[in-house]
Amino acid sequence: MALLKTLDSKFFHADIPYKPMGKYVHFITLRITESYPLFQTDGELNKARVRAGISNRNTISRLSMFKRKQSTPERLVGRELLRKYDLVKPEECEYNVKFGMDNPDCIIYGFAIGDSGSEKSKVVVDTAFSITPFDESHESFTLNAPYESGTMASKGEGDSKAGEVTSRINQQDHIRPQVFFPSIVTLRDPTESSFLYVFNNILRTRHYGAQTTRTGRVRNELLGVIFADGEIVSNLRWTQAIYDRLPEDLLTSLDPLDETLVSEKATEAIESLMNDEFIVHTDFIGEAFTPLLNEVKTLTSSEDGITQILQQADQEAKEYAKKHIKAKK
Amino acid sequence: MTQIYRCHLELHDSLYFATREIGRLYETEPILHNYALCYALGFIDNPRYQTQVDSENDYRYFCRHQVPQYQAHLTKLNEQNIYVTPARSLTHTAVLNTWKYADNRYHVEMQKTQKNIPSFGRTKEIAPESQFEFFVISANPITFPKWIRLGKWMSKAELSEIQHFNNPQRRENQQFTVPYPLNPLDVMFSHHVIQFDTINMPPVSLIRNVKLEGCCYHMSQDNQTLTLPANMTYHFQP
Repeated sequence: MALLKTLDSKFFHADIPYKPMGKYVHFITLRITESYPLFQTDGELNKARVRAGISNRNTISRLSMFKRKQSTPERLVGRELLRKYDLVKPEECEYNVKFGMDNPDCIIYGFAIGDSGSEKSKVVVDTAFSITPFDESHESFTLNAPYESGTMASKGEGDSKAGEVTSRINQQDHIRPQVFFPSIVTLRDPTESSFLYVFNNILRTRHYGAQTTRTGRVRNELLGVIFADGEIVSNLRWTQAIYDRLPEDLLTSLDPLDETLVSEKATEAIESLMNDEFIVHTDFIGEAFTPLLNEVKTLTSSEDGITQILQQADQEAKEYAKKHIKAKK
Repeated sequence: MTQIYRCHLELHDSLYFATREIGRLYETEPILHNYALCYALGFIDNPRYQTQVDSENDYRYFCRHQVPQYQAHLTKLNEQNIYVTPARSLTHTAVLNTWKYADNRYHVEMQKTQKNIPSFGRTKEIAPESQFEFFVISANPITFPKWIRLGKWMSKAELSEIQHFNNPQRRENQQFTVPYPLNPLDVMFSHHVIQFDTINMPPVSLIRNVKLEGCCYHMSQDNQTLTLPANMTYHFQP
């Protein structure tokens, strides 16, 4: 049963193959920070020292959004939906605790369990790099935990002595709002429902980064999808191509970049980079992407649509599990 | 006719695999094993190179056992005369990353772990834009993919073939030195290995700055001579 009318079924497998068959779909996304997310290692924001552009060979420090820090929140969104529509019971499949091995999340995003085998992930995400340099993309905040009175000096609460000044104060770098991370999400060997499942996860995920904070709001703007028979350009190269296309004074200014301008240049950059690839690919970018995006959004925003997607994905996952996982040789 | 390709790899993401595990620190050495490269280049179980393996060992999304099948996979490459050398770094830098398992439960009680699975740790990884170099020796011409994925986290890397030596000169009984890393198991049966430095890593430690005696390929370009051992094949019984 085809769910989409705007796409030819030749892009998809009828069911999930047991080995790589050379079908790829690449989701071209711009991740835009909308509050102050944290992607850090040992209290420091993750960054990478790389070349600024393809033609601009200077090296700069960029913020980086590590791969699993992008894919984990996305798969958790999918899992939440599977539980909401009663396709996965919480006790049957718990993330990183006990994998059910027969639901869409486990089959599409993979799992590894010591003695029960492992399923390779069909979703591959790469580290994303900020377009603007690190210096212009972060801010340092002082964090404190004041007493209920709103001051840092104790009035004798709990075990403290009156007049004592709390040491609950710290400093932390945060990523600024409106920092752009171009990121390509690759799905191997898609079926129609696994394509929609991943698509929906990307559209719905709103928070990335440190789970204990409540500030990691990030919006995903999809610029297009590319169906291909192989891997395409990297996030790094795409980011560098966008950098080259933006005016120097905007990149070094403290003001955030304009979203319309970035989207335009990002689209231009990916289109030109795709011309250099020597693989077979069908691109849905810019205007060509709008009908597809609208169709997917209509589908995923109605209860009917989303349950259809999830049920089909679940059915495919169950069939796959029965055929290739449960059956002992 | 023997074809020799000199290839460059540029990392576009940080690369991680465990060369060494020191408690919670997992370290990546800037050298790529030739077994790993064979998989990354797509030479294993691929009808394009006639290296399909039997269904018991074929490459699947689901792996029931976590035991590598190097012998079953790489023997097919020997039959097709495809050999890949380990890659050395031309330039590289390292980065440190911490990782932890995500937990989706609202409330978690700390329990003693039942299984020996680390839930957090630090990885020393090779940074993006580091460059590597290796050789592919093949009986038939090969077209390489532009993008490949490497390491535990499938990091994207750009592959470029920088030189193609069509029918290189073959010389018998030579004594020569190879600065490139080699897999000792793959040369010690065809050559007399005189001197070498060891690079410790699983599954087979590699050697470099190797002085050996035997057959070799001689290639010259731009006043520079390149020498590689001939007859290298994958061997598994030491």
